[in-house]
Amino acid sequence: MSRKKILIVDDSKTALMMTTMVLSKGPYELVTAADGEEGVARALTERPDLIVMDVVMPKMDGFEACRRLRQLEATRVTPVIMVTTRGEASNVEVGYECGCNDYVTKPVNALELLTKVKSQLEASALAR
Amino acid sequence: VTCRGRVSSGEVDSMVDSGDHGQYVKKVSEQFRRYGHELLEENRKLRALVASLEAEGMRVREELAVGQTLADLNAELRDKLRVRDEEKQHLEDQLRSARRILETKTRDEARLKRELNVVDEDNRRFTEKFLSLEQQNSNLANLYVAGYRLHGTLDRREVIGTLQEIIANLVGSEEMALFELEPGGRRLSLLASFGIQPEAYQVVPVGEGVIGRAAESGEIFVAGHGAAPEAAPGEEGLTACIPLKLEGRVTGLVAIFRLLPQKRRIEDLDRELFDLLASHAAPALYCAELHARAQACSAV
Repeated sequence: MSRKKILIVDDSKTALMMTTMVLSKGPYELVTAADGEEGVARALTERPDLIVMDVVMPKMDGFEACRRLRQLEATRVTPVIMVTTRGEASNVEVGYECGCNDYVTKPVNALELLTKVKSQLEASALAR
Repeated sequence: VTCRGRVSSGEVDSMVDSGDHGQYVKKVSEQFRRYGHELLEENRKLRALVASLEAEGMRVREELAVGQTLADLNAELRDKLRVRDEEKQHLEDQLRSARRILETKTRDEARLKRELNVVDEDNRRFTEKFLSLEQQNSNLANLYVAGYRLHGTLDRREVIGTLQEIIANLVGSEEMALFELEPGGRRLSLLASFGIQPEAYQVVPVGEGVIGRAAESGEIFVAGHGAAPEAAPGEEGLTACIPLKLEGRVTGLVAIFRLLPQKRRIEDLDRELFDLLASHAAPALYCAELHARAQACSAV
């Protein structure tokens, strides 16, 4: 079975490093991007199986990036997990409206993130 | 001739003596006729009897045939019964054998259940252990990332940015102030902040309020733990104060205000992060400053 590719999009190097360390425990190939714009571009070139994306980023925030991804045929159904600072219902609702599949809140719990990534990848595989 | 109603010898002698031969013949003839009738009647009865007997014989033969059929059937049934008995015996043997197997299986099942319970218990214990180790691993990863990032650059602005990222991403607060101790050590001046009104915290006298007292004592302050010093205005939402130390001297302080809504309390990992920040942030800032000075000197 080929390793699933995950794109991590975060402008914070600390958060990016942390998320990379967490996900590197799984059988995943990891690629990163530093903002929403780069994230969309890398999603098109790398064709990841899943995207973990921060909300607050320069150039293009996570919500807008998610909206763009949903408009593109290549990434229309790619699962997106948003990393939100605030877990309030309104914020989460906006995320879902933009097309994200799930979310985790900061500070990211490693087990929670791993579980959600695994779950989304399995759901995505079943949907195909 | 013997027949019923025959003329007796006395009557014959009497008729012969009287010379009445016609009467005699007539009488005999009459008797013969009657006798014939009787014979016929007897014959008819006998025929009826024969017919009846034949019918009876027929019926008996039929009954015999039925009896034979029944006997055959009976024999067949006996055979079947015998086969059934044999089968029953065989089945009973099998049943006994199956019962023995069942008993063995039941014992095995009970043993396996006991073993399964032990395995389940081991599994639960290992899962708990695994989760605990994962948590420890994650905590260590947090500390590693924090340390790595703090010392991963000699750019002062990046060190300050890293401090902010650590507070936001690893601790879970978007309200922070970074102070440095002014020369003389009487005041803390605000070096960087986010999520707060910086005007209110530009200068904090050492020894005043929670922040000032933490800088004075050099002890990490966490709200809700131990006796809290009297808060100065603007310190109501303060969650933690981390004095930054260089060779045991306080050179600055990180004040963390409100935590993110989903972050309910300061946990053990946060305390370890605070310890790490207390001992590593000041050297990182100092190194960055020295590097900047060295760069400036080399430029001159």
